[in-house]
Amino acid sequence: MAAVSEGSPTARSASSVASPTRRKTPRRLKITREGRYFLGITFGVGLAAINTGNNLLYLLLGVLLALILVSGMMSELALRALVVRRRLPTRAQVGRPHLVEIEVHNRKKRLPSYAIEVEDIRANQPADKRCFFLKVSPLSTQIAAYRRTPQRRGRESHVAFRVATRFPFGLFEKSKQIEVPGELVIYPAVHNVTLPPPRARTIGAGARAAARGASDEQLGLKPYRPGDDLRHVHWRKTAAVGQIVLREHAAEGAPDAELELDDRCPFLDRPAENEERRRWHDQFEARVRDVASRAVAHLARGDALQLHTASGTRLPGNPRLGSDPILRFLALLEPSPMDGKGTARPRRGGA
Amino acid sequence: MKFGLTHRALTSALATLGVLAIVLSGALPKASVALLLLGLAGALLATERFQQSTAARYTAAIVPSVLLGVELLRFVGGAPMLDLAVEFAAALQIVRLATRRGATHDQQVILLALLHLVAGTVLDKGIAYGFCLFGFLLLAPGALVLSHLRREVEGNYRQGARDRTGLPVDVPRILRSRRVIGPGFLALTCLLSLPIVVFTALLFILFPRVGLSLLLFQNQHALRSTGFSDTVDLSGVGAIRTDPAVVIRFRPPAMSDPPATRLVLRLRGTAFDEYRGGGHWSRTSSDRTVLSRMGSEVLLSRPGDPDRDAVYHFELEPLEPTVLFLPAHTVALRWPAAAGGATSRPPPLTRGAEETLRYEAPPDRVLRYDAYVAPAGELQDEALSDRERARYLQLPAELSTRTRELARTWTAGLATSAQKAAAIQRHLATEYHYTLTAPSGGKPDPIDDFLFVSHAGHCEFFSTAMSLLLREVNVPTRNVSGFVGGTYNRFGGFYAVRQGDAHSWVEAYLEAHGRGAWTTFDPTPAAGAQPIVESAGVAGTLREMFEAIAQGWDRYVIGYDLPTQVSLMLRMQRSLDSARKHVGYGDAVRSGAPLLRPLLLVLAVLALGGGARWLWRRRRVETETPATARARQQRVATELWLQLEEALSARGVARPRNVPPLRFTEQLRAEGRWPFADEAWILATRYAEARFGGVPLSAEEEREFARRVAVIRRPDAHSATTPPDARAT
Repeated sequence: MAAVSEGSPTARSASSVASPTRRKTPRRLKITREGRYFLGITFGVGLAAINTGNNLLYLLLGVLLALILVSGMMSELALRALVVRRRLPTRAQVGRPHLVEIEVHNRKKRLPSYAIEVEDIRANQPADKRCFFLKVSPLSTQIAAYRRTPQRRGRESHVAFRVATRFPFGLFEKSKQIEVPGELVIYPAVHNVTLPPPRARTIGAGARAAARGASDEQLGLKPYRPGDDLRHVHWRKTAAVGQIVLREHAAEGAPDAELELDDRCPFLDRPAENEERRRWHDQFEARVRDVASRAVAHLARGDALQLHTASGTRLPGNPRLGSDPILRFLALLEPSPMDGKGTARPRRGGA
Repeated sequence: MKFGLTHRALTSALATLGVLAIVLSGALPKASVALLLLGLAGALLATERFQQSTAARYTAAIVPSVLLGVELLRFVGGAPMLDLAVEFAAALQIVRLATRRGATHDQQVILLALLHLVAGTVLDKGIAYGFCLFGFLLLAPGALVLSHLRREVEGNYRQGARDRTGLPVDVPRILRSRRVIGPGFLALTCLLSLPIVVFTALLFILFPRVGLSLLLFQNQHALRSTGFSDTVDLSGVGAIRTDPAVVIRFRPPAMSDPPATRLVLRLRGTAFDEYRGGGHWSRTSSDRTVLSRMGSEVLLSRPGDPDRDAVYHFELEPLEPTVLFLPAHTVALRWPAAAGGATSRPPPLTRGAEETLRYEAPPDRVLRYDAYVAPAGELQDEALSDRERARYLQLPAELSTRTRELARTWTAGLATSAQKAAAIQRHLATEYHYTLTAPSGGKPDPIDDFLFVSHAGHCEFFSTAMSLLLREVNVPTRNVSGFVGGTYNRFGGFYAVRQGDAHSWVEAYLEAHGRGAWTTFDPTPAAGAQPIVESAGVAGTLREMFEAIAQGWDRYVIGYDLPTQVSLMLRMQRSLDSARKHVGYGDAVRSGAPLLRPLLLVLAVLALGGGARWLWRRRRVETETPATARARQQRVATELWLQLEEALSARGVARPRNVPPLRFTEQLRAEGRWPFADEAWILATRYAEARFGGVPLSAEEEREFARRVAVIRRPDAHSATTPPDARAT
């Protein structure tokens, strides 16, 4: 059974440019292991030079310090005028790995940027995903991707990139943070379920199929009559036959399956032991997963379905639209209070 | 060019420079030098196949331990610790170079090369080290950059990894790649040495020279002692005339235009009064008296007079023994002051037997001094006591009878000592041959053999023979050792005296009109009594350039000390004051308008620069072609659409990839449940016009577009906004 379906929102990120006209992003500097050795040698040579007055040691000290200086300048050049973009996948699901593409564009006209490391920073999560770009030529773009497997459903916020480089000598790591918000809705995990045999099509259902209405299901075509909604024009057919042709849609009828989900949490408005709360949440997540799995299975079989939550939310599922609306709804569903009437609340932030 | 190959070449070059900095110092025994150079050549030729083999791993693990053991044994055997440590470090580099595998080993190679350069500062201060340092300066940025990149490659790309297009991105492929670096990259990294040189020079000049002198040790191997020595032994056989190393540079008081290519100037070092037979000269006295200094001047016989005396400027390389070399009739010495008046602290001077001047300091740097030479007509009276006369007339008992007879034969009928000396000098110079092979050197009585058998020898044979013959006819003499120079250097503007210019001649005590003085005689034929001739052509020119650079290195790098630094600062301050006066700074301050003119100057420069930049930018915009303008518009429109799309995504509606932007916003409007749908549709329409319709976005429109996107992004901007998922009831 397909775990994902089309129609799910595509998350995209905006671009951010370290433009010279903007205020300069603060840099962070970290000394690498090689840098510590280098600084140690420089310090030793400096001490020896001061102690002995040996001019050659002063020369060598100058060379070492100049290398440090040049390192700072070159790393700055490497980080300048880089545009970093994030390309999030069309859909992502708990337990299934997905790729996040990082695109780095070098806007410098002549200088390439070497050894650029881009770290994708997500809100409230450890920064463990990074992409490495050995060389980004002038006025060109490089794309790399990292693989990630989400562990929980909901809205995942990518907040920024940390662009770092140890270029040119590997003595220091200079980095800057570019705020680039991006969002990805993680669908609940879906497992294989065995569905009961489909219900025999009732007269009502057959009548539903024959009745015209405003559902998303298309019945057929009809010629245009004054008063018809022009939004339903089938342009290709209109062009083919030389007169305006409209799409006919089926009327909404009773679903083939109805799914119930208890999303009321007894602990939202009263204190509870952590263990109790955790157990309830585990059960709630299991129920979400189960509903998502059954919804996907029904839709894959072509069943229309209706999802009810105990807090009063209803959501129709149409096989033509795929499982994305249902999965997205379930991804963002939050527990409601026991006397709640209504709305599924997203996990973080506003929807 | 291939990344891996270039990196390998640069790292190898750095390692070679490090080893050369040690090897060229002359501190190591010749056998060690030969072994190290052979090992270095082998390591450079080692193939990657060998480096990847098990044999290389065993070599890297075992050889350093064995070498350490050998060096420890040699240390126990009495070898100097510094030499052993340096040898071991060089050997370690060779082993690492031969067995390197991967970026980590290459970084170790670079680190070792750096440490070798540090060691080289103790071992050698010559221009050879300077060249190694300069090479390091030139190559180090490139080698360090490539090593770092290789380390990044090895750390970030796994074996067998593939990129998005399915091509392998493993390490060997990248190392073979020609796309990572090009000639431009190498040129850029080499150009990096330019700011490094500038910064190094600044720090070198400005860093205060405050030597604490704690735990110092002197490397005795750096001293040069060939060419001139403190003893004379005719039984030794050598070829000193072939060594072209410069030991003294001097400028005479007046030079012809153009300067003469060669100048014959005898620079006296020391003299010997006792001939012990068998070709050995020595001194009977070892007494020394410290010469007092008057300011920066040391009196030898009288105060120097720049108007009357000829002033020669000398630069003496570090030599052992620490003898000062001076022309005949030098009456005073002066330590030259650095520009600005400060004088480097001069070493104490002593006068020993036979007018030998020595400086009492380690010979670790070039010594500069001026010599005041009395005019030729000024006769100096140097009285000789009977005891001293007897000393200078001493002859060995075993001096052969035919030698004594020869002296009398050559001087028969001559009355004065001067005539006798001239006659003997003429006989020797015309009847005997100059040769470096010294066929009489190994004989029991070398002088007898020289005078009657071989008739050939080097300068010491001639001077010794003349001394003995003059003593036989009752003329006091002493055998003098020193240098005769020099050859003119066009680039440095000085005369160079070389190791091969070491020479020996005679001083005879001549009396006339009741006054006596030591007079110089040189019986060596002209071929051996002149500075060695420089090779002409390209080789000679190159040698002159090299020696001029070496002089600059000695003078401006090695000899840069605290007094010079202070002088330089004073000069800079004076120049600054002068410049201030020139631009009227002082008047401006007094008239209540401080810094007016400099400020105006700076402002004018800034204004000119700003205007030029503005014109350039404007010209750039004006010269924008329609194609580039269209491309820029499309890029701007796309950027704006991406922002809008991201805002819509944040609001919970994201565009499926198979739906075009305009259709997508139309669908949003059709659904009728998105309060921002109309706004999104308007913006999408404008985007489509700009992106595909050729209707450009003005700057104002761009800002407005971005502002409206920001409004859509805010959840509270449209009060009726509710997530679609929740509105599905």
